[in-house]
Amino acid sequence: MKVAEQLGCLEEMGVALIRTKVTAAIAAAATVCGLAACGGSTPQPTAKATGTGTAKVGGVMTIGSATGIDLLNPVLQTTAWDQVLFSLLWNGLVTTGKDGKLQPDLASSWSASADQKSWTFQLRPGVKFSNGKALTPADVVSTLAYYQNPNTATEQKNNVAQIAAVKPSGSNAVVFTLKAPNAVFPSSISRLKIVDMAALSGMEKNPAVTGPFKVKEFVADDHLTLVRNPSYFGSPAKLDSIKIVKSPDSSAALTALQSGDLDALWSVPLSQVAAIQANPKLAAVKPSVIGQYVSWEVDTTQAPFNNVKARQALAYAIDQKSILSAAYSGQGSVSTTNDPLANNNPNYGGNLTDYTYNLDKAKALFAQAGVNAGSTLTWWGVANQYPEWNISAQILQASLKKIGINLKIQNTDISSWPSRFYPAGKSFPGLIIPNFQSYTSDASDEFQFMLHGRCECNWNNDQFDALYKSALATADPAGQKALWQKAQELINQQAPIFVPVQFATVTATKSSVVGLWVDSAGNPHLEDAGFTG
Amino acid sequence: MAESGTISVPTAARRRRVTLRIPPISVLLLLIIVLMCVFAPLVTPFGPNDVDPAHPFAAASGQHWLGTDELGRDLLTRLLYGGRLSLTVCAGSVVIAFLIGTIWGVSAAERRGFVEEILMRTADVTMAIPQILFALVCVAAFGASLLSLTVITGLLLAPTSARMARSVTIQETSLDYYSAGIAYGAGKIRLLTREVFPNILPALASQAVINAASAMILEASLSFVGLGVQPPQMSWGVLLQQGYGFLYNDPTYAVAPAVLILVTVFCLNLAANRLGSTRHRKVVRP
Repeated sequence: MKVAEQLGCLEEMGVALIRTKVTAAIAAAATVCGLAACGGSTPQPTAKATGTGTAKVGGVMTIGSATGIDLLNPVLQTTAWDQVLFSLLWNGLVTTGKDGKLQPDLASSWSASADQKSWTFQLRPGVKFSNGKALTPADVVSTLAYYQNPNTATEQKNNVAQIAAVKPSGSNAVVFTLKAPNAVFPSSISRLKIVDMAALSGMEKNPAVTGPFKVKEFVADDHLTLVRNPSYFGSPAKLDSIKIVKSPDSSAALTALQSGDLDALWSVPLSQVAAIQANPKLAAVKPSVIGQYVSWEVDTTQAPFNNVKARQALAYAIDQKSILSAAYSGQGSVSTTNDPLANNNPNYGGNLTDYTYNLDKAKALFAQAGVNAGSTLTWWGVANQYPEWNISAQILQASLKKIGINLKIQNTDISSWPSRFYPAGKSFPGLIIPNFQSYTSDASDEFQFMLHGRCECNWNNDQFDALYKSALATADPAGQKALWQKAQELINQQAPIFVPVQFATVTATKSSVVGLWVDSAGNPHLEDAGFTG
Repeated sequence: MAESGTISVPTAARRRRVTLRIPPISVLLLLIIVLMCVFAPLVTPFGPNDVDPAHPFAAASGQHWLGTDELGRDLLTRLLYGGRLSLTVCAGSVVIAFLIGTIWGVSAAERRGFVEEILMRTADVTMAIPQILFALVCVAAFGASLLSLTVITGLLLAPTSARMARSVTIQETSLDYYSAGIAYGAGKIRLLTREVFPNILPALASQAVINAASAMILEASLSFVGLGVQPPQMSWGVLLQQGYGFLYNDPTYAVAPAVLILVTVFCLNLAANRLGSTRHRKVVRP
């Protein structure tokens, strides 16, 4: 393979990797809403929003990030930061509100057949794209066909794969036929945004949108200027305009926020959150329930980690508290049960083993698995990005050293990083791969990563897949929760991945900003944002 | 060779005069930095990887003169031990560049013609490649370790040494004593090693000091993008990179290694200037 091809592939892999995690998270969030709509809702904590005052009408808000926006097409969205546009430009059939519950969006109502395999959505009347075209069921059908096209590189592949057919029903409804029952189907499609397929060619310059804002100017990977969309079907946006700009790096972005050049900043370095909270002119906005979790992966099919005792030993050797404190600056929560779900997640629970840091247990279990003093494991991380990974590696290195196990830390550039373990199915014996997953707080979303063929850890567990499928098909919230807890018990005992902490992507704002909130996947919502009067 | 003996006597005398002077501040500073790094275990009671998570970012105190980092490790200790590695990479790469560059340049100057063209155009092409880019590719290919960093940096600096070696060798071999030596039937290798090399050594030494400064910056740059040595090893570049992430929490963390890199490079450049001017004075004096 030529160098250019190789680099291209690697880059693609890296992007796809991040995309996969983020996408899965998004789909999960939608699940929560689906439950609500079906009358079987799981209570969700409310997301935190900025300020308590009322936003005045007017003003231009500038929000920055160290990441740029590469493209506008919501179907092809590639990075977590691109998702900031989801609630500003686009609409799906359903959406997730500040309270974490599913809300009507382009669909005014929906219902399921008794077997949970057929879902009918009534479209909201009078919705128009910004180019003047009226929304019809045909737009939903054609957009879904676009998502399902094998040539469409979308994050939503897993969520649209369950759909067997989409057909218009009458003049104002669409019917989805699923391959298998899914009681939380509406939430699983809340991240699918409906586009005007006839205007696809102009998508990256002046897209036809249905959201509260429309595009005024877009320079890829640099800046995007949005202005209020007068044809939006909902309450008009408070702000006249939103500027989304890219900063050279997170430190420069933070300086811009402090100097007043930015009104808000996405993904604040975690080490700076405490300083922002202490600054009366600034505010830090975080989700109430965290959907992002650290996931260290090992190859569960290769020695030594094909032995469950070795995996449990590693779980005991992780000093979660020090990692949360030093690497994540205390911005998150410790997971002593090695659980993707945060302790305050409504579906958290089960008969779970406590993996609180214990080197004696780690040493004994490692010995039973044949990992003795003098053995060497390798940390395969990324250079110059995710400093929290490198700090975590050093903490783990110091812990393992105390029981005589060496941890060799290898950090490589991000383009070559995935080649050792991605996609799932690759063999990487003895490597520990740091990573993180961004999902909504819904269990169906957060556990997607553990399904067959998804996790690079190669833990393809039929029992887990069956539990997941059963939980999706169970409309009764209590019954569903019981199944999610069984799934957690399985993850807890098998330790296919390692979850030292759950953490939040924090958005910082000026204290004059009100109405901005952050969902469980860490995405800021500016659709109702404004400035105090 | 009686002729060369008479030439080298006044040069040696001048060299003695120079070394008898009080060393310049730049050299004294360098000496202090090197000695503190070499004798780090005597300077500080802490180990460079003694983790104390209970006291992250501790302020400067009598116990921790520069405070602690995010894992409670003593910053001064890590700076001193990190300096060992930075200086090792620096010295090792300078030696590699000196050896390869000298053979490369002297060979080109001695053989001239087609061989010289090939050798020097190769040097030109090598120097045209952006150093950081080349180093990044090499580190990605061969891994980040003390050895690979030293070799890569040495190879990158070798062409500059080769250019200098060629230039001064041509200058030296054009002198009468060299022609006379050849006329008397002396072997070229013997002339080059016994007579020419001692005379071009000051120029090569000057270039080596400049290379040392370049090596220091190159190592710091690679480390800053995360491709330097990996934990538990550390260098000034690694500490700078780690400290940059905590610039708002503890500016000392990033500033201290930056200052050390700056001072060291500045002193090396001053020393190189001094060596160069000394050599220049030797040439112009009657």
